[in-house]
Amino acid sequence: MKGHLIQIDARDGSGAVTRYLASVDSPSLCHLNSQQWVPAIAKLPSLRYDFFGGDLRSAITVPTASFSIAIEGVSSFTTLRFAGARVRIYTGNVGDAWGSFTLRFDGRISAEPTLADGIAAFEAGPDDAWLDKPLLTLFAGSGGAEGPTDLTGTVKPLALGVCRFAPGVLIDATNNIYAVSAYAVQGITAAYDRVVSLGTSTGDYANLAALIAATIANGSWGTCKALGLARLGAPADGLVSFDVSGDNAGAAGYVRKPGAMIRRIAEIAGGTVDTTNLAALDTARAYNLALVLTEQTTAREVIQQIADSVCAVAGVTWTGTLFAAPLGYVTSTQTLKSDGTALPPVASVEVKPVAAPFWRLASEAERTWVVHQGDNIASQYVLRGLYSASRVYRLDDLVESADGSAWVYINSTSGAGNAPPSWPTTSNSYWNNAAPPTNVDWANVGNAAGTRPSDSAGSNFALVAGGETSKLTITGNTITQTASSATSFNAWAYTEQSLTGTALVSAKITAGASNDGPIIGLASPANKNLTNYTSIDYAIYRGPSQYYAFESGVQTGLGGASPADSDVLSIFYDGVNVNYVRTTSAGVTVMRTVAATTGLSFHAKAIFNALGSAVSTVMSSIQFMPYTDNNFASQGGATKPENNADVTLLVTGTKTVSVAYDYTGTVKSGQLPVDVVFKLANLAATDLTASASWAGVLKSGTATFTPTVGTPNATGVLNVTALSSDAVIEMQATYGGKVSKGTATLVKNTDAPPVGGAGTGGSGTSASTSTISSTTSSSYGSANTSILSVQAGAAGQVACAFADSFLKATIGTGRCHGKWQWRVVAGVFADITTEIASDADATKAGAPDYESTAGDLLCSMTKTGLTNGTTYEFQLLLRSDGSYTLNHYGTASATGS
Amino acid sequence: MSNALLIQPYALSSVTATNTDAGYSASNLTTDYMGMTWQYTTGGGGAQSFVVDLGSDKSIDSVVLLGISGVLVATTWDVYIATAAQGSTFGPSTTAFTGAQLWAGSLLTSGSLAKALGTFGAITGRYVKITITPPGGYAFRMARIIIGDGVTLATNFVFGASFGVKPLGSLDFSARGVLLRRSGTKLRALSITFPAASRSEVETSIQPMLEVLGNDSPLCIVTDTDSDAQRINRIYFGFLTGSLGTVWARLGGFTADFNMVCID
Repeated sequence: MKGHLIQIDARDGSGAVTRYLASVDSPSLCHLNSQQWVPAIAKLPSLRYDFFGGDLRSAITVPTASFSIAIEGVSSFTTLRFAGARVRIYTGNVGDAWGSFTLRFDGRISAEPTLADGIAAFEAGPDDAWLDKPLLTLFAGSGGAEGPTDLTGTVKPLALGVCRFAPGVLIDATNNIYAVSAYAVQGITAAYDRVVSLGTSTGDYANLAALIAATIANGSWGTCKALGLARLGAPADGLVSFDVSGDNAGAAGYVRKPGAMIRRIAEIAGGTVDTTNLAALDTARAYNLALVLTEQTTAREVIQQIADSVCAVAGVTWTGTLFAAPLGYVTSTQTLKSDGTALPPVASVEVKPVAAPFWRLASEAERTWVVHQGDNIASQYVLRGLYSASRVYRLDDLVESADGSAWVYINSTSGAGNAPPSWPTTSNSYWNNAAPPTNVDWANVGNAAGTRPSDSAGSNFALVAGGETSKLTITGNTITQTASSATSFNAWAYTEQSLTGTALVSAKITAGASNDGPIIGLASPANKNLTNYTSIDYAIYRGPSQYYAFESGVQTGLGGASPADSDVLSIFYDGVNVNYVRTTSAGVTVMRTVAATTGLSFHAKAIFNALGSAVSTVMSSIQFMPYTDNNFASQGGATKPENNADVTLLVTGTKTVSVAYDYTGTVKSGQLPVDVVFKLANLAATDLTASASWAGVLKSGTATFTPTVGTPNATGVLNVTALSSDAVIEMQATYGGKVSKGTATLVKNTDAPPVGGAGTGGSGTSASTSTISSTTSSSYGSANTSILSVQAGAAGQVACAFADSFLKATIGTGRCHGKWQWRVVAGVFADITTEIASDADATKAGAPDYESTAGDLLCSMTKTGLTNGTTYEFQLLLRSDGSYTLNHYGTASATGS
Repeated sequence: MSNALLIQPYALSSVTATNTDAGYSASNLTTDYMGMTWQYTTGGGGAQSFVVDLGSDKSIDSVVLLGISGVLVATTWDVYIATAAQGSTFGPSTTAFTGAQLWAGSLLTSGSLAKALGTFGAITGRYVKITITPPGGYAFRMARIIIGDGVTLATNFVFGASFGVKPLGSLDFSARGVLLRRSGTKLRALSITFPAASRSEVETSIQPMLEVLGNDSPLCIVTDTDSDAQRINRIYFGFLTGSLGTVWARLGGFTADFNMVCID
């Protein structure tokens, strides 16, 4: 007799409570497995499967179980909660050991039982909750492989099998890292940027750190298969996709076939599978599948889809184990016979209704997981700008060369350093020409004798003929004179456009040797449409043997070698000067520079005269444009900035220093020496003082100081040790080849002299000295006496006198001159009056006696108009009458009165 | 032949055993599930004592043991009774009997399960201590203890008593004569009539007992208490079926019918 045992893991208020139930009241059943199985099963378990219903879109089939128990046998029945409780049903023969019993059902009770007449009826199903949990893991947003914060809670993709164009999730925008699958993968075989292959992977790296640290060239890529990651060498141009050999992280390794994929999905979801059954499915349906999941789903949905795709039905057994079985026509393994000749016995036979025929027997294959819209596909060429030797190029990359030509990369192997060929070669192994150079050789374009522009023709101005217009033909920027003008210089052409501030006109002039050459230059607006060469303000005239400047009709020869047709002649007005320039193959020659008023406006103008023997005169390649030149040294103007000026370096320091003197002109204690400190800094306020070379340059006055040009320092400190008068010293800091300047103004601040009143002293004071220095030169040098300080008296005058007796030191005759100088105290000496010559010459005889005879000089001068009682200073200056030495003797005196 | 003994089992508040195997609780001895037993095999078994608590002092003259297995004929047992005042420790107590053979003869039931009957002069008590001593330390199992105050009518049941079986299996045949069988348990059945019960017996014993038992409380009937080998087959434990009652069949005489399905 069969016995049934039911184990229910119910719960009460204190926790789990297990109840054991038996179907037969027999000790051999009620005490199996060391448990007490209460014989309270009122209705034996009924287990049911509902397999394949013919529709491959149905959900995974789940069996059910139902049974009833007498609640009398279940202690504390009313306190128990059964919904969701695990229930296991065992069957065996009564009397058999526990080991002979079979687990028939392992699931969970669906809801609380229904109660009637002391009988509790239960419904149960297998525990397949794992099938309905979210299958894909989520990014934690904690950085690294878990992605940035903004990916928190989003799903990680999962790739199974060989997936073409699988998408990736950008998890590191800095390092261009994509998560291709949530777990380790078998391989990532290709990477695409806008469906353009990035070529072969640089390599595989063990972990994320190694992947980030790897050197991956721009345009290339690498992988970390252990984490299912890929990294691009540079930010992607557009939509990125990958060819992936998917997940290999499960117990079955790399999975491709339906059964193995179902097993891996169940493994991820935490379910239980019948591995033997799934292996059999792989044998029966030996098809390689591919699957990429990028949106959250459940194992139930995915497994069902996989089973559908291979015409199989998936289900869960009574014990909760997932299985999948292929559908098909098979050989029967058992025959049921209603006549009792075969077991099991057949109670009755009836035909059930049959549903409509079933049709879904095929499945898709080779799915492309990322559908690229038109703008996601680099379907023609990917513009890469100018060719770079360091960049990796790949198929259909389009680059430009410096000459404007365009080239398409045609080699299937991506690479760097393979330059396009030089035009006119149109291809090599790597590049095909897509467009010729844009720097066209105009000489080869169009009809040279027709209407094509002249070579290198400008287009920013238009020439208008004037006067005898029939004599001229204007084509682009070329003027051709076809006949002499009836009136001299009466055929001209000019530009309607004018330029103000600066202007440049240039041209080539082709003329015969006897041609009375044409003139081209700059004409003021008032003159642009007037006859005669006088109407051009600044013009170059090609003469037979040289060039001439014509400035409003005034001719000036410009010299130089004979004019040539190939010469390019230019006149440019830079706002300050007008320059005449001749450019030949030998170089550029500025033939003339004349000053001009600022802000003038000019038109370009050419005037033609007689052809002479020439067939025609051609003025070609005419250019008219504003004049610009960044060579500031060539710019004119008194107010232009210093050449190579650098305004980024600033010298700072004391501007004015006052040095105090007393009224006698003696510097006060502590005033000198004085330091004036300068600093050099750039715009970033970085102190560059010690890095510069400093030198002081005396710009005015008299002072003694360091540093000097000859002896610079690196401190920026101007040390002034003496000051004879107010002085201005420029401190020049040389740094990086540039000179920055600061100025120190030294002011000699002298106290006012004491005031003496009229009548005070009356006769004044006097001073004298007998120390007279010699003279050696015919010019005055330093004073020959010390300064004599004398107070003027009531007469307001000082009488100076020196009765000089002088001797010549060398053989010969000599004479001298003398003068007195005066000043207020600490003022500036000035002559009292003109010098006085000696009265008698001094002589020194030669051999044998060498006798000397003294010369005489009476140098007396009176300074009048002085202030009574005020002290003044006087000094005597002497000079020889030639380059010889005179020794002077006598007393020099100054006497106030 | 002795008169039949009717024992209305007292409700057993609790049973404690000297030893118990895991999964074989002594409390099983109080239930009417015969498949749920007490057992002790660890250490080779040996003498085991059971103390039964009736909840209060009651008059006791019968002890029946059901579902015994694993013991030999030579097994003996002792019964002691203590009042509530004496307590369950059985320091002071009254000895019902000691050294009695567990069952008469060596014949077992078809289920190889022994039954034991012990009768003695009525003793009042709350606690009943039963000590079973198998020879040689044999371990054994037991399903139910019945303790009661038995009724023995003055006049025994009459001829016409039937001893049958209630099979719970089924048998059928398909339309083509194919056997369709489902095996099931066979329960013993008993039908006896006491034709000459006195009014006193009816009023003091039979009718009150039936009112308590109804169809859902068990009753133990020993058709012959004589100590012979077949006594174990004369002990019936089950539930009364059908209409219950006594018929006043004649002057001063009542007829009482007992139809029972046994679970032992």
